[in-house]
Amino acid sequence: MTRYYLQLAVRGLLQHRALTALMVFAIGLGIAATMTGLTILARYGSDPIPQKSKQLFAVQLDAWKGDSPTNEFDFNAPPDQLTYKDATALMQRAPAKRQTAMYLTGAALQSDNAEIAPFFRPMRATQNVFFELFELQFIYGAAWRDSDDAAKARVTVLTQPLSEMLFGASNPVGKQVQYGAERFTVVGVVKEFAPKPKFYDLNQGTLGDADAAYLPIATAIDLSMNQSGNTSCFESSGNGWSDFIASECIWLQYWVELETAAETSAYLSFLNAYADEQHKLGRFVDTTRNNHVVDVKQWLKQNKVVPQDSKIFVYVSIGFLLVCLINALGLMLAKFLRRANELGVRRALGASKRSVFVQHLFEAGAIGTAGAALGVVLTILGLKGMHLLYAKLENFAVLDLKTLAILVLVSVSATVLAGLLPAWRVSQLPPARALKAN
Amino acid sequence: MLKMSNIKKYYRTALVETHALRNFSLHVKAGEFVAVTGPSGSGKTTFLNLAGLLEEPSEGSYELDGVRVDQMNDDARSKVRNEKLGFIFQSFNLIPDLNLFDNVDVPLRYRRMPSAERKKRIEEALERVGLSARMKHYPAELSGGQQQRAAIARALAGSPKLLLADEPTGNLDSARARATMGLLEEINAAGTTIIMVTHDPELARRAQRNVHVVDGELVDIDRSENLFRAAA
Amino acid sequence: MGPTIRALLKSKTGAILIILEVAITLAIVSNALSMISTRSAAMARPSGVEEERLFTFRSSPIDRNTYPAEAAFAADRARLLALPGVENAYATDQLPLSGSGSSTSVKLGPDDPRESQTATYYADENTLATLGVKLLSGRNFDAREIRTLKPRADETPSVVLISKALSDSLFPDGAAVGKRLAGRDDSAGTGPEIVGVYGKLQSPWNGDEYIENTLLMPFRPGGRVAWVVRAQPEAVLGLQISARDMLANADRSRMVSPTAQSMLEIRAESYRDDRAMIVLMSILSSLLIVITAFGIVGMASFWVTQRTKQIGMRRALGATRSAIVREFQLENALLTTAGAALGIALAYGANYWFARQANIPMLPLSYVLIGIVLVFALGQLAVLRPAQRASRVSPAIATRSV
Repeated sequence: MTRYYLQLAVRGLLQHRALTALMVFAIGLGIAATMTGLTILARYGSDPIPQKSKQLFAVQLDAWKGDSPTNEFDFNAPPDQLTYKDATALMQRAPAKRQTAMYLTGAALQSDNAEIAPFFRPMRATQNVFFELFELQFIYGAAWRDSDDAAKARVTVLTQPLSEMLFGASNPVGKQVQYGAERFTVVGVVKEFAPKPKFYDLNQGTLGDADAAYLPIATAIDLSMNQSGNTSCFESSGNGWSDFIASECIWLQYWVELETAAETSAYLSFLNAYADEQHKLGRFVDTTRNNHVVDVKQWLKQNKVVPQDSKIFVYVSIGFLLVCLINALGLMLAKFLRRANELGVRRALGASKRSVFVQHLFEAGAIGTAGAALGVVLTILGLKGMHLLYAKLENFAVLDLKTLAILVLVSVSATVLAGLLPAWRVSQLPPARALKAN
Repeated sequence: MLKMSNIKKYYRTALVETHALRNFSLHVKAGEFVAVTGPSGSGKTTFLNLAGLLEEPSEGSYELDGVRVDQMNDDARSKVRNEKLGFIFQSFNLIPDLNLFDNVDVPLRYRRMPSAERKKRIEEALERVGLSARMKHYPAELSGGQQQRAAIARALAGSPKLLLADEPTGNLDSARARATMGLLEEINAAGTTIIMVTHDPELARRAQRNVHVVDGELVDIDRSENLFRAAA
Repeated sequence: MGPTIRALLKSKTGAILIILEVAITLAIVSNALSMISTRSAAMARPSGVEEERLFTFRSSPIDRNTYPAEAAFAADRARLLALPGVENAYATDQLPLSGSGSSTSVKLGPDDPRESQTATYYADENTLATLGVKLLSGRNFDAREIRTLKPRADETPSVVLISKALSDSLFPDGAAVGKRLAGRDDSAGTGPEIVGVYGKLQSPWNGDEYIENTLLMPFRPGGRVAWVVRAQPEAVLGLQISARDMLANADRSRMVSPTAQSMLEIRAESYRDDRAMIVLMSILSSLLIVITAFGIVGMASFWVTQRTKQIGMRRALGATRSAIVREFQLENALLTTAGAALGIALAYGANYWFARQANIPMLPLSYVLIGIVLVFALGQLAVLRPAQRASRVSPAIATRSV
């Protein structure tokens, strides 16, 4: 019977072709608009480090005085970065197996090859635990040692693209690179770590560029390697680098790995005790203990990584799809009712109400399938268009198989859903009347 | 074959209740050829719709081929229509964008028959009405008489026990009407019970038995056998 | 009107569908129009600088400890000015619309109710002339006032220039020149002196509430600088490449950004998302209108087919062709009215909902009115052909038997 329904559905599609084309076109467009928007939204909302996102927490300490520097909606929100003072104190004293402060810096890279002009690359100053914390994969060598962190050693870990640019495919461990005026020894090469969204440092935007190399934070501080990113101060940062790192300005990201609820609460207790202690020393004027550890998912939400415009586009395209479906519903009704006479004959010849109903649901499904086919093409074009409009979406918002499957499923089921009413209406037509009319 | 007892059918709207059939009883035996006559609006069509299970009686009982059918649900009634009944309409009611083969195929499809069997039956049915050569033709390419024969083939393909004909010759000229009537008589002779609604007294006379409906009631039963006997 | 309403009631489902379609279309289109116009208006704001004459690139010392910032600045500026087509140049930290910069809050004393946020730029005596910003009152910086700061130095300048907008918010009565801002400790009269007020110069952030508030400090960055070069408009494109290359090759002790950007490119980049949103909303709205129109055509055609007999009867009873057309038009107008009524509610509902999630202004009534006119015109246009077809139904159909 399924085969017969399918035959009838195809035959139905070929009747009143203009109507069919209109429905398929509308559904294809509606689905494509919605899926284009949803693909982008889903990518922004996707978990950048799924294997660990529940154990990784950003640290917020309320070292601020006055209205929140970073949250325009909540003046009481704690700052989302740390002062250098607090970052170093936490790295030394806070109870966690893995935690580290970090900041984005950069340097002019000088090659020993004089042909290559110096070029700038963004780099991350952090501690060696960074690589374990975020599970970076080493291709050559390993992270620098704890002693390197302590000794402000001139050591660095390159990412693969930078390593290949400087040294080709060969193993550069032990070789030298020059950052600005300083020479660094390469201790390892990692695969480029480019989570999107770049959850651990959102200062350069949700889709900020990947870091090109890593170096010990103590070394970077020692070399007064300037921070690029957001700095907020409620009082003067003083005159020059040493004043700056001693200031109350917030400018460092801080991440900690906590595996159990007990670890989390112990860590939080430490933060509160630390804040109380600092309060006694005259810092941390706010005593509401507005200190937090925030997991990745909440962190992304709190920082509103999903662009408002993407959300608005999705809302509008859902409204658009709704109109397309209502449109299809009406046109299906018109189309189905036009064959009242034929259906009367079918009923007389033994078709039950149910089989008339099912026949038309199949037809709705066929329209949905055709709409999905068009929708796939239009979604691909839509995403291409989005890449033109928003260059940063290229290689980010791309159609994957899962979205494709959802697209087909949504298209077919939404159309079948819209077909329920028309199919039910024609199945209830009194056959006797249709047979008399001509 | 068909046994209707005290059938009532009324249509209700918010304001009025129209009685289409009141206390209608009829018994048709297997193999009979019954003509139902009556003036316009007498209830002939309602009777045919009820007999064909296209509508349900408001009251009364209806037994078809030994089975009570008046209380059946839609699925069961559709199955009965499909397997035991054949329909022939005044306006033929062929599906215009299906060729003859596919038109005759329609009732067989709802019977979930294997395709080889369907093909055999379709060819036989079209052969029987003399349209084997026109299998791939569409209804619009045929004359009225050919269309009605195709419709008869469609009704016969499912080997119905009871054939219901609604003014089968109403849209045909007299020569074609006579030929169609001859075909129905042949079918009846081969064992199929036929109930034919008509307002043509000449056509009615050719049936074995005449039933007259006036104002929704059976008022007059001609026993043609008796007439023949009397004439004899 | 009687038969029209009766016909509508008979084809309930179709009528409801058309009403819903019109309503959602109106809601989306009026909100989209409002969004498009808000963003176009934002994009149309002048930045205050002569964009078509400016380009910029960055230069960073490789070894900051040994880099002779002041000498290098003077040498580089001389090199730039020697290029044909170059009219002026200065070095700063940030540019309008560039998306990154510094801001601070300024006030005249403790608890000043007119305390205001402002963006700050490093500037020198050539800044106003290079950017093409007019000095409205007071004086420009003097070359001797400009100091080169170490990286991360956070010094209080002795003199500043402020934008007209900032001046207006701090000094509603006008006279800003000669006044002093509050000092670091909020005390009145101890901060920098305002020596001049200039016209328009926007902040680096185009979405900022205080975009027109800017303040120029007589500083020059000692580390990385952004060169801003003014040239004749037709020379900008060529100089973008040649000036950068010349500076990059002249001295290898610093690194010059690989490409220079024109101010027009910075503007385009700055408003990229707004432009994208305008494009997207325009496309979706247009498609929506087309689809709704075709939906109305489809449904009206169906009604014509369904009512052929009835129409024939009315023609037989004396209805003129134009009466039939009018009847369909009236029917459509009724549906559109119902759809518009529902659509207004939906439009404001959606606006309220959007506004709660994002920084979106209240939907102005004018866009809803434009939307209503649009859906009415759309409906009448869409129904015209089916109605004309209906009017051509022959009265003879009425006499044809069943």
